[in-house]
Amino acid sequence: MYKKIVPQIKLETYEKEVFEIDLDIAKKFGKLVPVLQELLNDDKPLTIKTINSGTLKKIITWCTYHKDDPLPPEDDDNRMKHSTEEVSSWDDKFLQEDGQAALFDLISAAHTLDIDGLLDVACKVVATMIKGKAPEEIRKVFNIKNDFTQQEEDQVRKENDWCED
Amino acid sequence: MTVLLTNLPPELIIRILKDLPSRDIGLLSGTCTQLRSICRTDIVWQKLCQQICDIKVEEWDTTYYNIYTKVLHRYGRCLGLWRRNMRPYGGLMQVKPQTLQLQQIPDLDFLDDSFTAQISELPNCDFEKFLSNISEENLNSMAEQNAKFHSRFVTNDENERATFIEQRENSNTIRKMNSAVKTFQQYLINVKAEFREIHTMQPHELDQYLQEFFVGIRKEVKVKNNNDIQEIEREYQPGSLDGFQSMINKHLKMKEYPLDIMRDDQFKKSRDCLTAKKKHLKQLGLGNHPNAAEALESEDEEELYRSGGFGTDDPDSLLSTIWYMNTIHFGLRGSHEHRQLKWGDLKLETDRNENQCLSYNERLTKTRDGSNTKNTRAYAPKSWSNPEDERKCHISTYLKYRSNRPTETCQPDSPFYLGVNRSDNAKHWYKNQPLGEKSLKNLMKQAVAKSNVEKNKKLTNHSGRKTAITRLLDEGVPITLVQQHTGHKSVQSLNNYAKNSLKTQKKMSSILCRNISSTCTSTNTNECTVSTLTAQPTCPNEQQTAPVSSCNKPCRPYTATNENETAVLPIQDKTIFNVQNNGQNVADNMDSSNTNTCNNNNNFQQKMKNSSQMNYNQLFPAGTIIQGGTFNMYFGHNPQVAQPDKENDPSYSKPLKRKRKFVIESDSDDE
Repeated sequence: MYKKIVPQIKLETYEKEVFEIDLDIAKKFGKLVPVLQELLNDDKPLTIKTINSGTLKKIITWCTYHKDDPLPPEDDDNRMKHSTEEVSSWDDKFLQEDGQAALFDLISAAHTLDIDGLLDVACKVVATMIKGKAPEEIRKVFNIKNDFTQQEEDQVRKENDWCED
Repeated sequence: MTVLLTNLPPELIIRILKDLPSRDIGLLSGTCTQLRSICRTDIVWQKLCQQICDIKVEEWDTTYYNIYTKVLHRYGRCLGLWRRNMRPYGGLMQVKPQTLQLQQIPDLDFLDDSFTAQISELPNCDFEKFLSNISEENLNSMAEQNAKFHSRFVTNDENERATFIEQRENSNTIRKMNSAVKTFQQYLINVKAEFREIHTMQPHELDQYLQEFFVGIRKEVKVKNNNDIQEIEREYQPGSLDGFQSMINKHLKMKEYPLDIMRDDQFKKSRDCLTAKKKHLKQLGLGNHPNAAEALESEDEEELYRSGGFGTDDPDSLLSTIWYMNTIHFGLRGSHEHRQLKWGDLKLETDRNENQCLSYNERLTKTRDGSNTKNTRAYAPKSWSNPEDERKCHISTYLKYRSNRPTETCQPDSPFYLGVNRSDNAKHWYKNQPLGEKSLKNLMKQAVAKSNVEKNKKLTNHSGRKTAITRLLDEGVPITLVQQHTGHKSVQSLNNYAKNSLKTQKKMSSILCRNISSTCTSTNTNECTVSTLTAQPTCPNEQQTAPVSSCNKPCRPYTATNENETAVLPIQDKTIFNVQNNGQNVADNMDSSNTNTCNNNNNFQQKMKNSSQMNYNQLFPAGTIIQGGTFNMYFGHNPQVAQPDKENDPSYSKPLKRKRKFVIESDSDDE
C-alpha cells in the first residue's frame, strides 16, 4: 500500500530508548534546527542524556497537538501580548495530569531543547499554581522546606510590607 | 527523588516569575532562602518596572527592586498627564518618574486615593503636540471648559462605536445574512474552486457567479436516499431566493462594495436569471407561502379557553394568556417585542369613568426602530376590561399575573415575562428570571398542544397578531386605524393579513354558490337583485378585505345571514325606496357596488329624480341586466324629494355628502 514517507530523525533518551520523530515536529525543537540536515542523513540516533523517555513522549504529544499553531510573532511588542494569553484547557490538563515532578522535568527538557511554546505554557501553569497563595501555602504545594531562622523570617516579613496592603 | 521547584535552574525559575504579579513574587520570596535570593534578582524587578514606565536605574542610584517596591508599586498608577478638577489649581499636571526622588517619598502622600478620584484622565492624544499648543493664559479656561464638557460628554473610541452600531442591528438579519453569504461562498469554493471573498471580485465575475448560483441552487435535504425526494421538494421557495439576493447585497454593502447587485447595470443578467427562476418556480406551484401562520378563529379561541390552553389556573396557561392578550390588544409582534417588554411598560390606569385600563408604552419595534424620531406610535394603545367574559378580560388576567409574580420582580425594569418556577416548594408561580427566548416563541404552540384545535392548523406566535388584525378588519374597523394599532408600514402589508380569515372565505364561497341560483329566482319571481349597500360607495380595490363601514349615520353594516330574510335596513321614514332582498348576503360583497349598476345610468338617475314613489320593479323590470356605472342611494333623506325648511326644521339633517374614494392616510409610517 502507498504510504507517504515522512522524513524522520532519531533521538535516544536517558533510558537508551530510541525515538523516531517526524521532521516537521523536530523543527519545533529550536536546539536541533541547525543540525537537522545532519541528523536526517545520519542513521545513528542523537543521544540526549538529560531527557527521559516519558518526558520525550509527552513533548512529542504536545508538539503533535500544536503542530498547526501559528508561529509566535517576531516583534517584541506582540511577544509581550502573546505571553499574556491564557493557557488553553487542553494544555492545562495535559501538563498537570502526571504531577509536579513530570511538569518540572518537562520544563527543563523544553528548556534544553529550546521549545519556546511549550516552555511558555508550562511556566504559566506553574505560575498559576503559585498565584494568590501565602508563603506557607506555597511551601506546602511545592514541598519546600522552610530554612529561614526566626531572625531572617522577621526581616523578610518586614521587607515584604509593601505587598501586604 | 522527586523533582522540586527548587531543583530547577535559576533561569527557569526567573522565567516562571515572569508570569507572576509582583505581589506573588514578594510572597514567594518568603518561602525559603534559595527562592528568596532568586526573587531578589534585579532583572525580575526591572521587567516589572518597565511594565509601568520607562525608567533607568542609573538615574536613580538604587536598584530596580527598591524603585519598584518603594515607588512604582504604590504610585505607578499616578504617572501620566492629569487634569485637576479643583478650580483654583485647574490645569494640567504631568507626573513623571524622574521628578520623584526617593528621599521625598513621604511628600508624595498627596497622591492618595482621594486625589486620584478627584482627577480624571485626559483622553488619549498626542501629549507633546497637545502641550505645545497650550499657552499659559488659556490653560485655566481650557481646564474649566474641559470639566464642563466632561460632565456632558461620554468619551468613546472607534471599537466601542463599531460594537455599539453592531449591537443595534437586528440579530436575525445578521444571522440570515451570514448564512446566505456562507452558502454562496461554499458554492464558489466547492463548485467553482474560487477562494476569493465575494467583495474582492470584479463585477462581471461576480455577476457570472450569481447567475449560476441563482439558477443552480437547491435546498439541502437530509435524507439518505436521494431518489425518494421529488425534484420539487428540493427547490427553494421563490421568496427565499429573493432573500439570498438581498442578503448578499447587504453583505457587499457592509464590505463597502461600490456596486449594488439589485440596481446596477453590471448585474442585470443575474437579476434576469433570478426573475426567470422565480417565474419557473411559480409555474411549478411554489411560492404560495405554505408556511404562513393562520389566524385563530373565535371557535378555536373558545376551545383554547375551554381546554385550559388559555386560562388563569396554572402558570403555563396564564403566561400564554397574558401573552395572547398583550399581542391582540397592543398589536405586538410574536416574540421579539414581548421579549424586550418590561414590567413598567404596562401601566394600570383609571380613566375618567372610573374604568380600569392597561396602557402600553412602546420600545423598539421592527418598523419603528428609532432611526426616525418622528416615527412613533400615534397613541399609547389601551385595553379595557371585558365585563361580559371574565376569562377573556385583559385586566383581570393582568392582575392575576401580577399577584403570582415575586414582589421583587415588580420593578419597572424587571422583564415582563418570567420563567415558571417548577420546584416543589415554590412560593410563587414564577421565578426571578426572564422567560427563555425559546419558551416565549413557543407560547402559542404550547397552548394549542393542550387543546383539541385542529393539529394541522399552522398556529404560531404570529397567529396572535394575525388574529387581532383579521378580527378588527372583519368587524369593519377602518384599515388606517388597524394600521396604527399594529404599526405596519403600509396598508398593502395589512391586506396580506385580511385575506386569511376563514370566516370571510366561507362567506364568500357561499355567496358565489348562491349567486347562480338567485339569478334564476329573480327572473322567475320578478324580483330585483339589486344589491343593498351601505350608504357610501367604497373602495373598489379592496377586494380581499372585508367591507369597511364608514357610514356616518346610525346604521350598522348590513349583514344578513339567513336565506330569504327580508333585509331590514336602518332606513328612516323618508327613504326613497325599500329594497327587498331575496336572501342574498350581498352586503359583504362590496365589489358589487361597482359592478352591479343600472345599464343606463343617466336614465336611472332621471327616473329617480322624476318619481319619489318609484317602485323598484319599475326601476328594474324583470330581467334587467346591471352592467356597470355608479349610483347613489340616500337613506333617511332624499334631497330631491323633500325640500324642508333647512333653517327652521331641527329634524333636518344635512344630506350625506358623497365621500371621496377611500383615501389611505399614513400618519407616521414610511413615506
